[in-house]
Amino acid sequence: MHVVGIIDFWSGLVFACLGAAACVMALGFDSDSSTYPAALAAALMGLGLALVVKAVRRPAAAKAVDAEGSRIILWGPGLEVGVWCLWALTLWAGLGYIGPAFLAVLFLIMRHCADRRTRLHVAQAAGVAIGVFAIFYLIFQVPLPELEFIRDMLE
Amino acid sequence: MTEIALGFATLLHPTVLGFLLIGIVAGLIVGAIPGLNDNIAFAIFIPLSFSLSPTYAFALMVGLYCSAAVGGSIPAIMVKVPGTASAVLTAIDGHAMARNGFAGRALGIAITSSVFGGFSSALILLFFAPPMAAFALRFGYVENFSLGILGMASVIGLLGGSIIKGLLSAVLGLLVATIGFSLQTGYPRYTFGIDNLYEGVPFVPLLVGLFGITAVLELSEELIRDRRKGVASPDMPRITDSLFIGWPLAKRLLPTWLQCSLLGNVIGVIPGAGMLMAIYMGYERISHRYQRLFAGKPGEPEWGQGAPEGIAAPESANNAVVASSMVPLLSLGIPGNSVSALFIGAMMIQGMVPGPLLFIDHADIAWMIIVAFLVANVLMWPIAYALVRTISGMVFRLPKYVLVPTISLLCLTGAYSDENSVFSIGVAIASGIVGYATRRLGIPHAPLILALVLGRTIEDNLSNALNIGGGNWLIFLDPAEHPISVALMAGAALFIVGPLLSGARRRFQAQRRAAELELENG
Repeated sequence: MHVVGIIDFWSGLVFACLGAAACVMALGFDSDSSTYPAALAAALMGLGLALVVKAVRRPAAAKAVDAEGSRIILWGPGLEVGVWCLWALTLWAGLGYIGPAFLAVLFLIMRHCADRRTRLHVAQAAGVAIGVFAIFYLIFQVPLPELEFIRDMLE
Repeated sequence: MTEIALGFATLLHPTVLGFLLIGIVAGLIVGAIPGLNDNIAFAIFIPLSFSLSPTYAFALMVGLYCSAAVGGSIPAIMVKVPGTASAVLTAIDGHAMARNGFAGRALGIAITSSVFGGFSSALILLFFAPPMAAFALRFGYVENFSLGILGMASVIGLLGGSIIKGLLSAVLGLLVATIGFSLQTGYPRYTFGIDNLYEGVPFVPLLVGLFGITAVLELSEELIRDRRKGVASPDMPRITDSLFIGWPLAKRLLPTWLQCSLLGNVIGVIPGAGMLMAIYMGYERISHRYQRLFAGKPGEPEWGQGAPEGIAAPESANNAVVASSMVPLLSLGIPGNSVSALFIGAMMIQGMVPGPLLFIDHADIAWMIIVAFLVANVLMWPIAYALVRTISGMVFRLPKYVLVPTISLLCLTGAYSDENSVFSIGVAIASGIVGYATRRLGIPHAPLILALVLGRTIEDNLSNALNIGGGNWLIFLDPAEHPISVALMAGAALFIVGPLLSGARRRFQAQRRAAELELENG
C-alpha cells in the first residue's frame, strides 16, 4: 500500500471505531435525545469504513515510513504538548503562574535555539512569562492563579 | 443612509478609531511574520475581547483582518517567503522584481492592489449584507436547517480533494457539537460525568486550540526541521527605489484590479471558497492577458520574472475576499471562512447572535463592522506606505524560537481566562492535538470548524422543523410550502455531486488515455 494509503487506512479505522463507540453510547441516551447523535455517529463509522476501503483499493507501492519525520514530530510538537500539559498540572496543583510559565518557556527556548546563550534565554523567558502575566492579570484583570506572596506584592 | 450614519457615528469615536488603527498595524506585523497569520492573532485575541467593549473588540478585529493579507506580501516580496498563504503567488513576481532592484515598486503595487481589492469588497459588504439579512428574516426552521446544510456542502465541495475526508470532518464537528445537555430534552450527552461539559465543549478554548495551538505545533515542527537541516535565514534585498507607483502604471493595472477584485468578491461571498481559490483563479486569468498584451515587448519581463500584473492580480484578489467573506456571516450567520468563524466566536462571547437578527438587536455594531471595513481600507493605504520599511526590517529580527513558546503561553492563558479553569487549558491542548493530527492526516479543517459553529443551530432547527412537519423528512423538499428550502437543498446537492462527477470524469478520461496509449504501443 502507498504511504498515504496506509495513513488513510489507519485514520479511517480510528474514525470507524470512534463512530461505533459513539453510536453505542448514543443508543444508551433517552429516546428523544439519541436519534440525532446516533445517526451522526453511524455516519462517522460509515465514512471511516469508506476511507479504509478506498485506501485498500489503491495500487500497492513500496515506500518506507519516514522515521526521521516521526522523530521530528516527537521532539517538536510532542515535546511542546508535554511541556504545556506539565505546566497546566502545576497550575492545577496551585504552584502559581509566573514560576512554572518561566520554566516552561525557558526550557522550550533552550530546546529550540541552535546556539545556546543562557543569560539571553533566561532574560527572554522571564520577559515572556512576566509580559503575558501582566497583559492578562494587570490589564485585562483575569484572576490568574498566582502564589500568595506574588499576589500581595502586586497588590 | 441613517444606518450608515449610525455605523460612522459608532466608529468615529476616538477610542474605537484608535483600536481600528492598532488592528491595522498589528495585522501588518502579524501578516509579515512568516508562520503567523490572522487566525493565530484572533485565537490569542478572542479570550481577551471579553473584557473589551464590543465596538473596540470588533474595530480591532476588522483592522487586523484587513491588513494581515497586505502584511503577508512583505516577506513574500523581500525574501520569497510568503507571510500568509494568500501571498504565495505574490512571491513569484514580487521577489523577482525586488531582486531586479525594484523592491519599493513591488511593495507599492502590492499595497495599492490590496487597498483596491479591499475597498471594493467593503462596498460589496455594504450593499449586499443588509438586503440579504432582510431577506433571511423570512426564514423559518425549515429554511434555516437547509441553509446550514448548504453552507456545509459548499465548504466540503469547494475544498477540492477527497469528499469523504470533507464529510468526515463535518460529521466529526457535528458530533462534537452534540456534547452537553440536549436542547430539546435536557438529557446530558457524551459528558462522562464532567460538569464542565454539561453546557457543551467550551467554545473559546476549542477555537484557541484549533487555530492557535495547532499553528504552534506546526511551527515547532518547522523549527526542528530547519534546525536539523541547518537552514540559514535568507538575505534580504534593500528598498532603494520609491514605493509610489505612478499614474501610467496605475492606469495599466486598473483592468487587472477590476477583474481580480470582481473575482475575489464573488468567491468571498461563497462560504468555503476562500482566498487561495481567488488568487489562483485571478493569477491564471491575468497571466493570459499579460501574454497577449505585454509579453515579448521591450522592457517587459517574462511572466513570473517580475511582471507588475503578477503582483497586482493575487493581491487585489485576496483582499477582495476579506470583507465579502463577511457577507454570509452578517446576513445569514454562516461564516464565509475560518477568520469569519472566529468572528462568530467573538460575537458569541459578547452575547450576540450573528445573522439577520444582528441588524435588529445590535444595529450599531452590525453597521459599525461594515463601515469599519471601508474606513480600514482607506487608512491602510497611508499606514502601510509609512510602515512597510520598518516592518520589513523588524520581522527578520524576531527569533522564531522565542515566538513559538510566547504564542503557546498567550493561547493557553487566553483559554484559561475563558472560565478561569484549568479544564479550559486541557480543552485547548486537546483540540490543538486533534487539529494538528487531522491536518497531518489530510483532513480539512474548514468543515470541522463550520460544523462546530453551526452544529447546535442545525440540530435545533432540524428538531423544530420535524416537529412542525409531524416527523416528515420531506418537509425540506416541499416546493409548495418551502420553495426556498428546496432551492437551498438543490444547491447543497450540486456542491457535493458536482466534484464527485468531475472526479469520475477525470478518472474515466485518464483510463481512456491509458488504454489508447497501450493500443498505440501494441
